Amino acid sequence: MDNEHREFLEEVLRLAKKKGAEYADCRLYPNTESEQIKLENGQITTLNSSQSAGFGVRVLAQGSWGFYATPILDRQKIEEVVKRAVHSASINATIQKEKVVLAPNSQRWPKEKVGTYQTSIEIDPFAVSLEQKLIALASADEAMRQASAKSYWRICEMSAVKTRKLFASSEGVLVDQNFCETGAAVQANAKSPEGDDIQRRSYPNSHVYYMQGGYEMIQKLDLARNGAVMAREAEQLLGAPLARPANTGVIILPQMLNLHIHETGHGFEADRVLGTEWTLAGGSFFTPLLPQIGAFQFGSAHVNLTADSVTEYGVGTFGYDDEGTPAQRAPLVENGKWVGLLTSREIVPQLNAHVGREYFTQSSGAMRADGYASWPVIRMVNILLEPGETDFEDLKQTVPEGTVMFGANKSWSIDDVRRHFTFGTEIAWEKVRGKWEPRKNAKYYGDNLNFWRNCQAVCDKKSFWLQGIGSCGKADPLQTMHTGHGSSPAYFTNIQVGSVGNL
Amino acid sequence: MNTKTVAQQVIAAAKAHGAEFCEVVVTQNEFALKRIRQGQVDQPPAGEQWGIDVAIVKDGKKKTVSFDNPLFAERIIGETMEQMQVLPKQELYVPTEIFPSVAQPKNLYDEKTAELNGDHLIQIAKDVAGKLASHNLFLSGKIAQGRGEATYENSIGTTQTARFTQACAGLFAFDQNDLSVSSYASSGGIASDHIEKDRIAEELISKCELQRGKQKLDLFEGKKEGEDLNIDVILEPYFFRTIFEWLGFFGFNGLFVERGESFMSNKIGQQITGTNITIVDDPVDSRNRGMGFPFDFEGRPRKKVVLIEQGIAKQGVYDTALAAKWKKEATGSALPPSGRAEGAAPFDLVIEGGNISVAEMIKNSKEPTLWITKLHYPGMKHYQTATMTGVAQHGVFLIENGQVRSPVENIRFEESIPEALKRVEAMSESRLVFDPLSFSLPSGVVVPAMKIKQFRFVGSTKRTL
Repeated sequence: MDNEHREFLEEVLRLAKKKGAEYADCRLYPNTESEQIKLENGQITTLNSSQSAGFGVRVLAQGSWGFYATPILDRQKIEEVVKRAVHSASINATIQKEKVVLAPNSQRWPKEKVGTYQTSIEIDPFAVSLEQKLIALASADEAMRQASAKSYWRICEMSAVKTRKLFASSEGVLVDQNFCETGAAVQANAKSPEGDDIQRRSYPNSHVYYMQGGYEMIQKLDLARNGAVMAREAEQLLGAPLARPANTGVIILPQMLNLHIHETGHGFEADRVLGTEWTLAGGSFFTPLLPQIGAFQFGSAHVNLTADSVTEYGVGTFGYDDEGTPAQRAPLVENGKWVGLLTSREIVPQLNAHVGREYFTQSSGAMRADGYASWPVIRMVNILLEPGETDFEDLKQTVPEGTVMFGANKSWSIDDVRRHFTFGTEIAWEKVRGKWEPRKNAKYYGDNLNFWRNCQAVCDKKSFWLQGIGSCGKADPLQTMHTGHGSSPAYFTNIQVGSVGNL
Repeated sequence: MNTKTVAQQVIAAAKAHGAEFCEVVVTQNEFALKRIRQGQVDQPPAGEQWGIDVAIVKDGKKKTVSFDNPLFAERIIGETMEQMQVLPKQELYVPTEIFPSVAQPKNLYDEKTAELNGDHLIQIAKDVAGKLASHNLFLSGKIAQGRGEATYENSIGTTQTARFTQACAGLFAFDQNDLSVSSYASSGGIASDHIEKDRIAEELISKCELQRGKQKLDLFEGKKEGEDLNIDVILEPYFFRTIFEWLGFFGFNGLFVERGESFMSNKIGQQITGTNITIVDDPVDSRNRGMGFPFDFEGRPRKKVVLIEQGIAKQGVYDTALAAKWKKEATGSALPPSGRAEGAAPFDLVIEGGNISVAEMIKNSKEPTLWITKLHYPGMKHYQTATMTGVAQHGVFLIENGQVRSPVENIRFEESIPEALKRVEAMSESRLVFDPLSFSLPSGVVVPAMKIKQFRFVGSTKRTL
């Protein structure tokens, strides 16, 4: 860490202490750069660069939190920002009933240590010429155009973001992290001649796909070849039947299952479990079950869910979270049993009070903010459904006739305690006489515990697919976070299938 | 430094680098939010925010850039102009119309709210929490206030500036001993005095009292998976705020209309809802408490736009470029320069209501009817039919013979909204619902409660393990 930034952080902490903070931390973002490029039907519709810089100060004073942030990265501004944060804490303390207590860090921070993290990249996306990027997108657009005359609206997009995050706390923690994320997607929309049916297909997924890495991540996607496949599938869907209503077995592919894991994963966020998130995201069905953690049967024995902030390429991967807790792998569900939650330092003692014993010993390292200006909250990192042992091709052959296989997500909603869900997909296939025939406007819906408890098989690591979701909304004011999710195709029974738009 | 000086600096820098056209939206705001859990402040986000969103055109090429640090303006404009040299020529629409400057609306800014006195927020929390405590309820939710300023300028001479304040409370009550007993109410506007804390407390308490000591009915108990339920509903303005915010973007957005994705596509001039439904985008409707912003993000003065009139689809909303492309009239609905690829949006939806109160709707309900407070997690299941889904929560009741019979477990609907709006039997007076998730610019929805026949539900939240 350079001296200029280090001195800035130290000045924040010195002033916070002087003004009465019992604890303080500062997140300083010297420069975040991003770029978004979008072509629609071959024309540039978005060509945008963004830059961001600023710092946010969190203090604990009189047992209450205070916070203030500004984009004005000027040492003259430190005093005002710290003063406002401490003032906020002192006002909040007037209605504080229980003083905030932070669980200890897992290890004592060595004096003078600077914790570091750097995304491993082969090609810096900001060093690649704009011309090269536009050619890549235009080639994908042309491939889609040639593949289907009915592809009336085609989207090809890519983006990249580089973030440097500095963190210092009054406990001596000092962190310097550099992240680089890239993302890209193609989408083909086909319309019926009457204009009453529009079908879309997206690759690699319907939500812009993000990974941690350089431009090489985009090159690996082969957007042109896969774009052509999408265009043909979108056209094919126009003539496909709707998915018929049935209670049946389903194979959920990672392009859908990762989002299902995401929506389920929210229920494992300890702040939701304790009731902080009612203003936006909701609660969790785990709340009354806290004393049963470690014993409660969440899913079938095939289900192993892990909160992983160390896996390569994941957008939930880092060296340290936004309160300096080291990255780790934290099991959430082991062989179907609920064993963990996503936690922060503050929430660990609160959880243990509800569990009735010292079940949680340290933070899982899940405190993340979407920028310097945001209050850090408990967030998913990379939530993974660990691979099983079933071969995907074998699974497709052995499941019964009438099984429905769901592809890329199209619509989603789940209730406020993460039980009743409904997911629609761009494409589904029904097994008919041994062949997988496309179905449009398909959805599956029902109770989430029923879903995970009826998991009959998870495919092996050969078909494991990790992706980043770039638009997870939580907190208030709304923060948009990138979270990682990975899974292999999995097979579930007793699932309600239907279709939408057939009114 | 204010938004106007930063905007002028951006325009000057772009011109100095040879820009043929440049436009910029500069926003600045400060806010304080108290996120409350169990009667105490759990999270206190606050801060100063800037947003600078610029579009530059030169030699038939266009690029946008956005940043949040006004001190970087000149450097970033210089870098952007340099990057533009390697761009290919594009098909561009460059505006030529200069809009007259509009005056600061008197009721968009409140001096007392602009003081951002955190003590005032805490006092509201204390007052409401105190009333709840006497009913053995605790308070969660948020209380917030903010002040800000926005400027639009372009290089051909349009210049607009307005400042604003905003304040809101979105609050929840929970039973101290039974978390399944809960309710929600919100209130807000331009001024902190618009937070109707007494009404909020009264709504929270009365709805929790209706649930106390009663088993929640699960209307899907005993039903087969896949079996639907059609039942009359009374939907409160809180519920509809979310629905109409979604329809605003995915339904009334001119880009979606023209591309064939909206429920209004190919139906302009046709009856698409009941004749009792009129929807407008109106920045000066008196019921939105001064919330309407006087210009859009391309500096066009805003005026009332009729979207649906007595059930007939009238038009979508368009920015200047969209309107030119599709030969429509621009409606003062432009998004900031970097977001224009997403189309245009109404900012101040007003759904005309009636004169039947929720209490009267309940009393008049002879058939079984669900009275629903709030909507959680909306989703658009099918764009062309505007088939939406979501879960009813924080106050769901079964009405029988004009009386509340029982609290009901959270329940999921799936319904084509335009079709449902053909079955509206009664409406209350419309009122502002304002519980925002961002404090950049104020924007609310004026909407009534509605009684709708035979709304479709597809499942419920299970509590069994």
